[in-house]
Amino acid sequence: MTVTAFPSRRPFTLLPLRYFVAAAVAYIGAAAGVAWLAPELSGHYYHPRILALTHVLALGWITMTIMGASYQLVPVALERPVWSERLARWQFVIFVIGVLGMVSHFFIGEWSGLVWGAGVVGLACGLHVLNVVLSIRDVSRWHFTARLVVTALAGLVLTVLFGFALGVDKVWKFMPPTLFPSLHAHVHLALLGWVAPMIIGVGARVYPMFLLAREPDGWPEGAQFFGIVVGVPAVVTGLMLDVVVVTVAGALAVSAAIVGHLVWLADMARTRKRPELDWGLRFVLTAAAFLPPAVVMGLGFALDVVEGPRLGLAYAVLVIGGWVSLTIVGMTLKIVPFLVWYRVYAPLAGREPVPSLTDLSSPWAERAAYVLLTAGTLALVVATAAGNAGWIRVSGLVLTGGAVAFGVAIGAPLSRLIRRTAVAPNGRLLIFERKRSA
Amino acid sequence: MRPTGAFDQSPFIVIWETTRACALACVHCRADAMPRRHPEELTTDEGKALIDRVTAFGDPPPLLVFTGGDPLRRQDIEILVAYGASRGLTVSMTPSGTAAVTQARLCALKKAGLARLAVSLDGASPDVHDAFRGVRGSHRWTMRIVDHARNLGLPLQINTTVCRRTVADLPLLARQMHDFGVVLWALFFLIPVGRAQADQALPSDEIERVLEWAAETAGHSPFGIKTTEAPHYHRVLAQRGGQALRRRPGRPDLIGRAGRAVTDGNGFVFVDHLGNICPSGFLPMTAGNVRTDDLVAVYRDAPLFRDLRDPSRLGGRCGRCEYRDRCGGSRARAWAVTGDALAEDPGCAWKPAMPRIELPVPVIAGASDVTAEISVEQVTQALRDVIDPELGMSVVELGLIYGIDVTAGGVSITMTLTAAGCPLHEVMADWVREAVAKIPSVEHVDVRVTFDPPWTPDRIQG
Repeated sequence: MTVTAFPSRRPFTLLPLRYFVAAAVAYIGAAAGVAWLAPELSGHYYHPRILALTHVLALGWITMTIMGASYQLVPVALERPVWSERLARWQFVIFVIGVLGMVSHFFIGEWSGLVWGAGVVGLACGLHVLNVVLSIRDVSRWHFTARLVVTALAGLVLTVLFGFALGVDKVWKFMPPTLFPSLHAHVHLALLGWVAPMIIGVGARVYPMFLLAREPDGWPEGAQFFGIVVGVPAVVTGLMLDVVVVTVAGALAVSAAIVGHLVWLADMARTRKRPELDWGLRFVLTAAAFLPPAVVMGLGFALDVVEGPRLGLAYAVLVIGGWVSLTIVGMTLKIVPFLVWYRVYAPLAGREPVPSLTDLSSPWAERAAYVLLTAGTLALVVATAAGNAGWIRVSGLVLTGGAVAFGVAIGAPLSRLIRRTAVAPNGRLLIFERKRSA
Repeated sequence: MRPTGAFDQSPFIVIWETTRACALACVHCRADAMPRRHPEELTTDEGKALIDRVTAFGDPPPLLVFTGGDPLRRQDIEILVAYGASRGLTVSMTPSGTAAVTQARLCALKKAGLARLAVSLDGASPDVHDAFRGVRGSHRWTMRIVDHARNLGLPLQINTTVCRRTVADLPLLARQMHDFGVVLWALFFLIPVGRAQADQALPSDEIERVLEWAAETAGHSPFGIKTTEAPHYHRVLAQRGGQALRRRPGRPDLIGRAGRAVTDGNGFVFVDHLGNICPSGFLPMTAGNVRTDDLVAVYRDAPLFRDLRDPSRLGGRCGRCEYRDRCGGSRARAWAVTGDALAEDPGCAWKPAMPRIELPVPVIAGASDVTAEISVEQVTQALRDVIDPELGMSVVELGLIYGIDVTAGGVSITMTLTAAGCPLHEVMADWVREAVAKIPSVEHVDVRVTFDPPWTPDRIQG
């Protein structure tokens, strides 16, 4: 079956869904890992198992979701079709293999295997970058979102190369012996160079669509774009070379970007025409509330006012568990039901009654996920800052409950795919559609 | 190759349904074929008389195809083939894929003058084909027929019904066409007549993708691809620069190609097993009977046929389509779906650029000449049923409707979406079309999506 035989103008459905499902599995696993690794998390963060946990989150959860969402949102936000669905499918398989290889070798502390895993992850990331770049190469207007997506892709490439170098350095020493500056630089490059511009950039296009708000404009646009493209290299360089002035300057620029993002978001929420916020949007707005304390802590670290591994871990929880993860949970709760609806019910629209996205969702599961994940993340910030293993374990269990509820929440619409397939009289067509529009 | 518009005097092809008897039980059968022959089928002499009238269309004569049912269920089929060939006709045949098609029988037909054999293959595997044809082993017999034809050097055409059951297999079938060495692959787009069910027909956007794929495939294949009941294939080819229309080196296509769409009653005439003269087998509207009427006269002068050949009488998008002279739309599909053979072809996704040409509303004898008025309020009310699935608000509440233009029997809607990249682009437009089409008296609905001016939340009502 030639997948490209009937080029579709419709959005892919099963392709991003497989990324989302894999990411949700990683998220649940990572939440359970927090409870399991509570003793390690109460100590110093530089521990093989914590590195494994961090990469489950960074790669298996966050990057996996962003990649999948890109195949859904790039056509929406940038109005360009995905260049190759086949490449995206292969990239998914390669990425899963690479992440499993990296995490498992981190966990057992076997570095040569880690390098192989990192290489496979690097290959998958390279294929993703290639696919997206070829998709958007003839974008008609290089607006804010397009520029930040390209910035994020550059950040991904640099993060992967940096991480790969760190992995190789564990086997064949060639980098400066000061490990932690490089480690901190790698983490900040990943979060500020890859994840942040993608969330901010895509959010600028899709938040107004979801909130029914005016497209944002004004000074925050420049603050966000230049804050990231100037601030992130400065932070990374400053951390690597241990030049405090450069780090602080970069941190201020990044902070300006975050402030600009928050101003935009607040403006959209205030002027929205959407009467009631669903749980997905509540997640997104709640996630943004984690940014101010994260910015304060980040500036504190840059100025050496704040220090120590426990606070460093709490800072990471604020950013990764708070802003990034809750935003991703919220957006996933928006995207997954839509993709299922599009695949199962869009062909019937107008011909017979079709459910709304709300009808596909599980409100109690979404509510439970919201309460448990928000509370669990807040508790984990406090517990890691305090270095209390018991509190961390309790926080981890609450987070696990929230992550499972999240899994149930996206499983509810996904089950429509299975039920639809089961009752359909023309199974071959469904197989065809799956290959065509996956 | 015939010039456009040359079908007024003579069809490109005449199909004779020699019998409705068939051993298969195809789920899609247009003819609703049955195991036994109908006692009132045209006799051998009547068949010869029909062939004589086919030659009377003049030079070049139309192609003559013996179809069914299964034409091999007639014992006189070799006689009829020989008679047609002796009268200078190019005779083709579409036997059913059964054990009755032996190499000896095909050899006899070839000696009688059969120019081409066409067999149906609807799936790349026995499972799909046999399930579709309703008889286990049909695929195996079809493969044997293919072998026999190749052994005899008989030019082979494969017919494939394109519907939900079979569309998945098209790419694989294309490779098999290459292996079989066929001269022509004919894609029959399912029309919901006879035993064919409406839910098996492909929607317009999917037909469009299949046609684009077919044009692409034809461009690099040694065999030709033609479509039946998807004349917009010629529009797709024209839009692609006509590259697939050019003959490619490879196997000779012993039967010429029309050069434009051959559609129901326009280049195409169908004579059923009882002698009824119809525009096509998929458009069972009778304009005469060869037992009582002259085939040539009916084709040239019967109002039904003349209307079908007159592009100015076409409705909806077909009527104002810039490709209507080379396409004309599937009249059979328009009839099957709307009950009006001159309505727009609902299987076409093309949105024509030509402005609407308002035609006088015909007065139909015995019916009211007053068209029921459609109000903008009715349309607006219908549009309130079109709900954005994510936002839970109707397109009216969201302010997505920019304009509603009501003409005699037709409604034109200009609308927008909340964002240019909105993935619901096609869905919402189709949904709007379906909702408005449900209003009594609405004969056609045109939906135009624009992003000028772009939508803003200020347009939300209330």
